[in-house]
Amino acid sequence: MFHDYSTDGFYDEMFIDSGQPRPHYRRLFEFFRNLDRQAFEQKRSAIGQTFTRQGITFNLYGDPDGTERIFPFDLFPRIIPGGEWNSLTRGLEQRITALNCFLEDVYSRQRILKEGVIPAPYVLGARHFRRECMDVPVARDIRIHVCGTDLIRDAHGTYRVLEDNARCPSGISYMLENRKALERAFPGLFREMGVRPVSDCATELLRVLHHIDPRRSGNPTAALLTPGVYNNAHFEHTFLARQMGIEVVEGCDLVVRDDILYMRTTRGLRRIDVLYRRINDDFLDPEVFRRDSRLGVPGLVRACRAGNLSLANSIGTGVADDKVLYAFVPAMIRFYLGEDPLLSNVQTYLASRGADRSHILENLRHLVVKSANEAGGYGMLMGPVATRREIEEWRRRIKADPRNFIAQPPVTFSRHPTWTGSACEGRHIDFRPFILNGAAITIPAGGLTRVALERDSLVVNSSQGGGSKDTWVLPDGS
Amino acid sequence: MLSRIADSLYWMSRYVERAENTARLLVSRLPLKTGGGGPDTRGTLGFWEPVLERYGGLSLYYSLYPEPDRTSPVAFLVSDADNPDSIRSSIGRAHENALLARSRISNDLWKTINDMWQTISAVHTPGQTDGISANPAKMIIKASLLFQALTDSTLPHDEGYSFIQAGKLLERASQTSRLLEIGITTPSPTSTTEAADNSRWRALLHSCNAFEAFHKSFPGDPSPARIVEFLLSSASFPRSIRFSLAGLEEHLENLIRWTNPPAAGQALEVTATLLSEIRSPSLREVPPSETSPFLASLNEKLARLNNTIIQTSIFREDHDPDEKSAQEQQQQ
Repeated sequence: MFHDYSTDGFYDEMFIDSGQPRPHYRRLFEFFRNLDRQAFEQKRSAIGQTFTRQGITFNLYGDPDGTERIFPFDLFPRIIPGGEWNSLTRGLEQRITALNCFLEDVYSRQRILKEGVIPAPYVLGARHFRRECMDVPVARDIRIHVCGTDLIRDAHGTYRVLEDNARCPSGISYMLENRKALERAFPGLFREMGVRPVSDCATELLRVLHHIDPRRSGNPTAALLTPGVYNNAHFEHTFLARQMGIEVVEGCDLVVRDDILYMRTTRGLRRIDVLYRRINDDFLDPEVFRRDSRLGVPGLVRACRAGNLSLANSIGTGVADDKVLYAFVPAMIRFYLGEDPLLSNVQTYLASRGADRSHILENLRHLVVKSANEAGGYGMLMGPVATRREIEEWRRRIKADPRNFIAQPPVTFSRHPTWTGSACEGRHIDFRPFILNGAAITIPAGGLTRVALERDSLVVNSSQGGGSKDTWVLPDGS
Repeated sequence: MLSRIADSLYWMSRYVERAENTARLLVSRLPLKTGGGGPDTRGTLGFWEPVLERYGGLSLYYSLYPEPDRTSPVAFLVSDADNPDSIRSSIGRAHENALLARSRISNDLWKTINDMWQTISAVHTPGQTDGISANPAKMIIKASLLFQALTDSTLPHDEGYSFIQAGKLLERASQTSRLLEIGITTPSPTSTTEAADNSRWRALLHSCNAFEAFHKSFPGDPSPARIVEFLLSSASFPRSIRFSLAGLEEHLENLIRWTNPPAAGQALEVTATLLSEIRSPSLREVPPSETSPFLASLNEKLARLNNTIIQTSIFREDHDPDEKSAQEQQQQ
């Protein structure tokens, strides 16, 4: 299996050097080395079939047939030792706490702007800043309830935050299904290695939703708002709702009367207290945001303002995802918590800053340029591999709207042994753990490791040829 | 239960039942096809025309297959995405409704529908349908039976279950009526000999899964009049129109008892009237060849009954096709 495996000089999760596994991978190394090819293929195809039968699939954007594909899945798990995980979670807790303080602040007193820590225009002009929500309190002062933070490891193996997804991050269901698949494939290994479970994640999520009950009745009705079956995360929406035992609702199921949100049931209207919404802000309420949206329901924002409804995540969290404000997260941590950041960012240049801009424009060939508000791996210029025409096109765009662009030196993600269909080779990976923020912050011991299946590619997004791996967190002291 | 989910359960079930009936019709007719391969002859066409007319329409058929050959009717009925009545289209809509009601149906039930969709959407090679064509249809029949069993044994027998049953039973009544119409009007495949005539009535029984049950009820009397009577008004055969409507009546009563949706009473009344018409002894005196007008009017009444059930007892707003692209863009 690992005969011809080469790390090619990259930071490899499993191997220190070609042929020499890291200590926490030693057991897995032995296991796969002794697994014959046929058994391996059998397990692989069994998992593929299970995923297809279950409908663990997603649709590609712009695919006219709406062809469903299964989320490509790789059999080699990524392993994180207990100690490493503990320091990671401390960093993630610190980060979500600061981001939440930041959101509370910018939608009320705006101290961080007044004290000049962040230039006000960056926040007030951010595409996802919602002035409609100024001074609208949220239950328990929590704004980000579910966060999916994308981490990478650089050439030295240092974890760095690539972006925070504080709007409606996807992936929890894939994390749980990946785990179920691998547990079936390698039941013995889990026990033997003491892999920590991820399974109570949906219960935790429900607990978070109950925690923000605006009426504090102790028995709130929660529902999950989905854009519908054509959304590529629809599988996840129904999966989570089933696990939590709550309804999946669409805009057409909802109605607001006297600032109270109801769903239409066969018994009449039923009140909803907490809405786990998987629709972007823009589409939530045509009274306030996009008038043409039929995915949400008129009056939703009124219900929130009246204190009759809690949303998870709250409206306006997207400002924390803005890639320009990303550059200020370390400053937020210092400002609100008085601590040094435990997790590093990737070095970031802001095109709106004079000195940074000239650096960016002079070095486009050597930088990765990103739009401030795109998700899913879209809206990016990879300088080192771009054509001359692309570079010039992006130069024009940056000059026209500098606020909307940032640039970073290309970071090489760590690699992990991955099955290519005929051999085991190194492929670049990232990592999205999920942070649940309720009465306490909980981080399920695992996450979604995404892998760029194309050789040398750094694009891990499922919509663009990425796959995923199960992530194993080992017990403390491992 | 969300009104929309009730609606989806109802349609999911109707479409599975429709697909099963289309599949059975096809399988029952394939042995009747005579002659070898090659271009179509008038005989086979005349034989398929009553079917194609009721499952998609002849004008659509001829516009999609300007030069039909022997395999065209099968392709049109099984895998043609442009035919709204093909098995593929029915399963597609069942699958979509199952997706909408995903949080309400059991995982096993979902997997069964998903399997059906995977199988049928993989069949799309025109020209290759001959020979392999019966297999997807047979698979759909089996999967539909599994669907029924899982509905019975893995879902709570509550409101949602009654919506599923109502959809199935209404569809079944209207399908049996359609199959009867086809059976009555189909000319014999090659000749007017008695043998050929018998084979057509046999095919009708097979298409309703009624061959054995009928012969047990009327041993030694396979006359067309008896066959029509059996499929219309048998009190015990589960695919007879009477039996289906009696079941529908029961589930409408359940719904009224549990949630009392405003116009379920009206739906119940219509069902009871239809039932009394079918039970009426005078119907038995109508010769089979003259049953068509009755069946046509019955089908119209069933369509109206469907509208009563969905427009009044189930809340529904039309989905806008433009919504699809807006839905796709919501992700992070």
